[in-house]
Amino acid sequence: MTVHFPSGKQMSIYDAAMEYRAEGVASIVLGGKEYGMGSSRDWAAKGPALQGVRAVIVESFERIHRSNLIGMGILPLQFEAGQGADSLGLDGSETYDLVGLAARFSAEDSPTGGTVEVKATRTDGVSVEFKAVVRIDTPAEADYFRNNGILNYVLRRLAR
Amino acid sequence: MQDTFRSRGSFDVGGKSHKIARLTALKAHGHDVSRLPFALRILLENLLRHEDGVSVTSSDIEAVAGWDPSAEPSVEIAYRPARVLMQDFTGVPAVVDLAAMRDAMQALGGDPSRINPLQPAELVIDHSVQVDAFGSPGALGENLEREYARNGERYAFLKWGQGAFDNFAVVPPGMGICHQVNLEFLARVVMAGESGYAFPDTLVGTDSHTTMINGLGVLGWGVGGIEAEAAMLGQPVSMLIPQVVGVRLSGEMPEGATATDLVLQVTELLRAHGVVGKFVEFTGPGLQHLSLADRATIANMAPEYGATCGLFPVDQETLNYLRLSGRSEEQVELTERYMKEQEMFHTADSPAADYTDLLELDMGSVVPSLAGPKRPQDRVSLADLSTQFQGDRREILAGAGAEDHDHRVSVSMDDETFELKNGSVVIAAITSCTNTSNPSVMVAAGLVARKAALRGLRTKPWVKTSLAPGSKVVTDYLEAGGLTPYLNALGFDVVGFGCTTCIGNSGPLADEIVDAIDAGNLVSASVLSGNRNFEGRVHAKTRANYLASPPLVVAYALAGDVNIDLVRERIGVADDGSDVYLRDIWPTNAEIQEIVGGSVTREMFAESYAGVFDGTEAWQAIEAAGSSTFDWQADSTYVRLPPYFEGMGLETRPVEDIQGARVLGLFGDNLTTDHISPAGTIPVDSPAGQYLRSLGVEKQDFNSFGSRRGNHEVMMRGTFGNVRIKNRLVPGVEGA
Ligand code: SF4
Repeated sequence: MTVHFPSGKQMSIYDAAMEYRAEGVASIVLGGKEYGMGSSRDWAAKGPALQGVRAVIVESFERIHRSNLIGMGILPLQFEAGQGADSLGLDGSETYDLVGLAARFSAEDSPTGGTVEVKATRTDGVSVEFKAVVRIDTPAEADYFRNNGILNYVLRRLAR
Repeated sequence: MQDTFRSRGSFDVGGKSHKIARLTALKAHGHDVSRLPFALRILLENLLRHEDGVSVTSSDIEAVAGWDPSAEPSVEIAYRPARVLMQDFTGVPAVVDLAAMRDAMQALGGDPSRINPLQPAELVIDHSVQVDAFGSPGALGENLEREYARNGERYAFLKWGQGAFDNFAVVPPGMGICHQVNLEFLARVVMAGESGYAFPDTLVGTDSHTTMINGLGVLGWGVGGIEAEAAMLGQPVSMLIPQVVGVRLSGEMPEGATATDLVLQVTELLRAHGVVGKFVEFTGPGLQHLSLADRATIANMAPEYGATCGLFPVDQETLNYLRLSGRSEEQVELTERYMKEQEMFHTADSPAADYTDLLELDMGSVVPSLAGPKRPQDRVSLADLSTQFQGDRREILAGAGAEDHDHRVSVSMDDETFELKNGSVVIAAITSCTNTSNPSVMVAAGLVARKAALRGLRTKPWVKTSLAPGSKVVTDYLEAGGLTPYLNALGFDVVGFGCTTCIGNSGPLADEIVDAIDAGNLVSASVLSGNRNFEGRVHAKTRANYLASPPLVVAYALAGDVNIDLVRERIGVADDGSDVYLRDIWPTNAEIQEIVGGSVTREMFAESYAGVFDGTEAWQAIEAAGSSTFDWQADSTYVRLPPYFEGMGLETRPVEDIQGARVLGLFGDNLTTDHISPAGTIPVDSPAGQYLRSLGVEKQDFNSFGSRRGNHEVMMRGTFGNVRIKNRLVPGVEGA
């Protein structure tokens, strides 16, 4: 279950995801430590990608799940050390702007690491700004992300 | 390609020249490679051969060559396994993706037939067969028939794939279990590729027990689907240079103990030590007393002891097994020469490698054991099981909020009346590649059956008995050894060549049995020769599940009750009225070896595997179009074209900023992949359940999320759909 914003209606996560998709609204997921632990299951990345999740912001990732997210074109972001949704006062009802992605990935060389600016705006108009670490760690991962996933990357290479 | 360390050379074998990336070249750069564990030498060779200055750099190579056993893993390397192994649960979605890529290729104006695995990829259909029929000569055929009826859509799709893709082979249903087929047939140990290089065989598999192949000196482990697909398409797998824990084996297995007992002991030892995320490697003088099949059993259970893999280095025994299992003389010779060239051929005089930790295990201390009631690391010796069960039972009942009890429930079934109670064994299954790949324990089971049957013992009427070998070779040698009639006499007729009970496809228990278990709230038991026994895995109605060797499975089918102390109490009464004890029907190691030696032959392997890709008549009867793209069926609820490539162009679209995004879920710590994408039951009222019902699929045909991974419509509806997920946007509510 989740809450769809701004309607405030409770519905299943799938239904909310479809509403956002129909409205042309991007969705993101917030999480805590060791996000994506447990057995390596690629549908845990494929499913969110199909639901329209563009980025996941968490305190830390399980290693393989992070690489699976990139493999499906989802941006893995990490709160800076010591920060988290709680400490930043985020409750999930905000709207999020992630600025600087376009500039970062428009360069020909493949950027890894670094941070992006995140602006979370509450319903009362007050916003919280924080930096999130981009967990794209290798040049290959940057290529996969830019291609919207590893399969698309391979496909484009073979199609040329 | 780069060659910073000047490692590239060549060597000749059988009049052929092969290129080689020599580990010994690193000596000139101050690295003593002979102190590295064999497993790391395989990784090192992989990096040396693929040095390109980008994905693999000279400093990556130096990081492995100069491995510090005690360092916490921090260096990430790009590893390129030589091939990919799949089973049908995880393999169907992987092949669906490949098929979707073909459609996309066509849409891009390219030639769809260019989408192929670049590395050999092999898929064995083994996970779907259920034990519906058992204890009869017709069981095998009946179960296979039902398997086809249930899985027709998936199989037709895979059959298309078998014909459509190069470098991709499918072993049809009813032929064997993926890891046993890998061990007996698919594994190359040393490969000679198109590149002209000879190199160690390595693989990733879409199944956690891919580790079994490490018994044959082949490095391999299980990965997720995306990683496997990427590996198939020539992309590297990224991994951290691991720690390696050595296990020094000494001594010899005592009379009466089996490889299954040994692996349960290994699991107990390594779980206690902690090897999660690490490699394990077996070493020491005990290796020379350990048959290849015994090694495979130990390597199989790496997920249970928690390691990434448990490697046995290639030695003379490896070569003997390659010959026995019908590999060509050319292949064996290449393996021997290559490994010796690389100083990777293990002998009694091989210098000891450095390990992160070195544990000792005296095989002389191994005793007949089981493990349970719900964790593979909870080993209990046979002599203690009846006592331990009393505690297990109390704990299980307490865990379910019930009082301890001694209920007896009378059952009338098939003209017999008997009582069921706590500890009644209702499933006894000789199952799982862990053990069916090991002729010694399979023959031991046959010998227990023979001795028991000859004295007139019978299995108890409430026990569901089954035998599901991992390849046809097993039935051949049991037949040749004269053991089949006795196994059949005790109800251990072959029910299928596949995973069956090991994966939880135990099939239904008789209604009378289920009613009695429910009526008495009984803690009934299963005894199986599998590798996992967590709650619900084996059967919903068996709350105590014990892993044990195949001969012990037969013994518990005879006893029908885990309350009986099989070491001190009689197991049954003979035709002549005399008491029979387990020790009276337990074979000696010499008896076992005599039959194994006389019945397991190279010809059997050659014959069994000659037609392994052709399958049974049912497979041959499936019509598969010879088209290069798949003809997706609009009404299929199992296999659908996923939209990953919809509207994709040749050029990437610029990455855009994310503006005005909403939070779909706000989660706490330790959210697992099972929370995000559950594998089990599809709840009726969930979005996935509603979707299936809207297509006319009845609840009893929902199957699991795991079996519907070829249908993204089901999977995306199930995402974040675990019934236990907690989203902080809706405090106090559990579930999707
Ligand atoms: S038999 Fe068991 S261990 Fe082997 S592949 Fe099947 S489920 Fe896995």
